[in-house]
Amino acid sequence: MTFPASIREASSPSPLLSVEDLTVRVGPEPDAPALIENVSLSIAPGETLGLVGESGSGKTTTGMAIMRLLPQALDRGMHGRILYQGDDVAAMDAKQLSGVRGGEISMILQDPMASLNPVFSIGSQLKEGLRRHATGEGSLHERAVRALDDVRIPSPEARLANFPHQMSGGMRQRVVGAISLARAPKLLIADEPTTSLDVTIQYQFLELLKALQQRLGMAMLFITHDFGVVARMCDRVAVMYAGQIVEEGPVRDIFRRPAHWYTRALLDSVPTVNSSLERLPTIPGSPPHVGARPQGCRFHPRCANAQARCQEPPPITGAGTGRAVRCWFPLDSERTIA
Amino acid sequence: MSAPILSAEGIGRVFSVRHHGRQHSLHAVTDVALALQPGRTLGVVGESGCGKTTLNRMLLMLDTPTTGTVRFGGTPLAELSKAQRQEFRRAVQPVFQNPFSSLDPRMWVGGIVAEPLSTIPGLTRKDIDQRVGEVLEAVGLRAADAKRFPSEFSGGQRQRIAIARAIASRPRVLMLDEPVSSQDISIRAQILNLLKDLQDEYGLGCVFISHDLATVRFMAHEVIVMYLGRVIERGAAAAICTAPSHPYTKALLAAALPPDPDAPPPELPPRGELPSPLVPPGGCAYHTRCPLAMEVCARIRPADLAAPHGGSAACHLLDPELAQ
Repeated sequence: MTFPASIREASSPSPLLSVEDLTVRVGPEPDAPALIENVSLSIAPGETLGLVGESGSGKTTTGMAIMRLLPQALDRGMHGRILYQGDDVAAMDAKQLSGVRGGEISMILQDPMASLNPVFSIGSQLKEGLRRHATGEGSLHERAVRALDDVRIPSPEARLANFPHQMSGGMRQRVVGAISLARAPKLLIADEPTTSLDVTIQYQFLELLKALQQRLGMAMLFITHDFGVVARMCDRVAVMYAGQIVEEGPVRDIFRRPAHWYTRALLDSVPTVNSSLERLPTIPGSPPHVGARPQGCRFHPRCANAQARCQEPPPITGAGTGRAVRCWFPLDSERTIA
Repeated sequence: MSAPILSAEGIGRVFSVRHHGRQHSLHAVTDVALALQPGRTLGVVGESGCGKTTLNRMLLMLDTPTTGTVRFGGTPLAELSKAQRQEFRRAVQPVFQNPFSSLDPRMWVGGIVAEPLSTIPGLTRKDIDQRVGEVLEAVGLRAADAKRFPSEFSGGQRQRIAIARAIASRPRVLMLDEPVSSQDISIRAQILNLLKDLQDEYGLGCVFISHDLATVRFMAHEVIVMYLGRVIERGAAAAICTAPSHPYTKALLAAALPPDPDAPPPELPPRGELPSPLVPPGGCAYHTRCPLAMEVCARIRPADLAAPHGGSAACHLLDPELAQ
C-alpha cells in the first residue's frame, strides 16, 4: 500500500524489508490477470508484521515473491521493488539470490512433511543448512545437536538419526524451524506455520518461535488467516483481500478500530469462547476468483456499506499514525471485543 | 426430556495393529457414553488421536464397537431389522470436513444430493428431483445447480452441497465432523449459521465434532472432551468452554488463542505432546503433560467426579481427599 511519505517515515525509520508497488501477473503481458496488485509493506528490524487474508487473497504469493520462489511464469510477470537492506531482491540474479535465501531471509511453510525430505535423516538435512553458515562454534555435529536443542527437541543427539516420518507433526515443524533458523536469518517469512498442527501443539510452537525471535532479534512476516494467531504474534497487521492490501496498522488499532468494512466484518464473524451469540454476523458471498475480481473497490459486492462511488478504485487514506486504509468510506468507531 | 434418538453406553473400539513387528492393541475409544436428544447439539472436543473420528464412525454404523452398545431409538444397532437399518441410514446423516474429498467429482450435484433418498422406498423420479431442488435452495444454492458438477463450486458452496445431501432424506440426526475446519473465515460463519437454522427447522439432533472450543461454544448445548480415547470432561457447553475443570480442557482453552491482543495470559498453558496411543500412560492418561499432576495421577485412573460447573471431570484434583 502506498503510504503518504510522512507516515512511512514516522512508522519505520529504516526498514529491513520494504516492498514497493509489487504486482504479480499470471504472465509477462501487461493485461494478464494479477494475483497481487501494488502491494507495499515494510518491516523494521525485529518487528513482526502479520499478513492476514482468506485463501486466494494473495498472501502466499506475496511471501513467495519476496523470496523470489514464484514459478517462472509468475516471476516474469512480477513488477515492483523488494528492497532488502536497500538491495532490490526483484532485480537479483540467481547467484545473488542464493546469498539472501536461507541465510538473510528464511522461510517456514505450512506442511512440515512437504518441507522435509523423507529419505534423508533429520541430521543430514539440518547439517546441510549449517554447513553454509560460516560462523558458529564447535563441530558440525555439535552445532546440529545444539540447533535441535534450541527448538526444544528432547534427546537431540538421538533424534539426529531419525527420519521425518518417525516424528510427530509438532516435532517435524520444530525441525523445520531449526533448519530455517540455523543460519540466524534477519527476516523469517512464516507462511501459516501452525495450520497443520493441533491447537495445543500450535500454542507451544508459537511460544517457541517468539522466544527464538527475541533471542535472534529477527523480524518476521507472519502469514496467517487466524486472528487469534495475529493477536498473539504480531506488532502490525496488513489485511489482504483479492490481491490488495486493504488496511494496515498496529495490531491493537486493527482489532479495536478497524477502518475497513472487510476487516470489521471478518473480525466480527469469528466466534469466541466468551460470546453467547445465537447467530454469527456474516459476510455474504465468497471471495472473488483472480479472473473475476470486481472493478473499483474489490470488496464492494459483499460490503454492507457499498455505494455508487465504490465502483471506482478507492483512495488510500491514513486513518492515524502508521495506519492506512483503502476505502471510500472508512469506519471510525470503536469495536468491543467479546 | 424426551427419549434420545441416538445413544451409546460404554462403547469402545480396539484395533489390532502391527508396530515394529509386534502385535499391539490400540484402544482408539474406551468406555464412552452419550445420549443425543432431538433438537440438541452434542459437541465432541479433542485433538488428533483422541478417538473422535472412530467415535463418529461407530455412531454412523460404519464401524462396530468392540465393547458396549450404540442404540438407535432405544434399539441396539446389532438388533435392528433390515427395515430398521434402512431407517437408520435415512435418519442419521454425516457431513465431513473436506468437501473436496466427500463429493464424487464425476457425479452431478443432483445425483450426489439424491443419494440418501435411495433409502426411502417408493419415490418417483419427480419426487426426487423436487426434493433435490428444495434442499439445494434450503442451503442457499439454486435448484438449477443440480445440473452442475462439484468442480464448478467453491469450497464453501461444496460444503453447502454436502449439507444439502445430508438433509435430503429428512434425517433426525446430523453427524458433523469438523464441518468448517477447511473453510475460509468469512465462509465459516455462513455455514455455522446455516447448520443452526436447519437444526431449528427440522428439529435435528446434531453431533458436532471439533477441536475449536469457540466454535463448539457457538454450536453445542452439551460438550464432551476426549483425550486418548476417553471422555475426560462433560457438561454444558457454556461452562466447559469458559470455566472447565479438567487441566486438559484448560490447556485447550488456553490454546484457543482469543482474537484480542490484550487477552490476559492463560492460567494453564499447554505443554508436551500426545503420548503414543499404542502405549498409553498408566493412571490418568494426561498426567505426563499435566502441570498439576500429583503422585497418585500416575498410579490410579481418576473416576468421573462432579465438577463445579455442574458436569463431571475425570481428575483427582476434584477429589477433596486427594487434592487438599
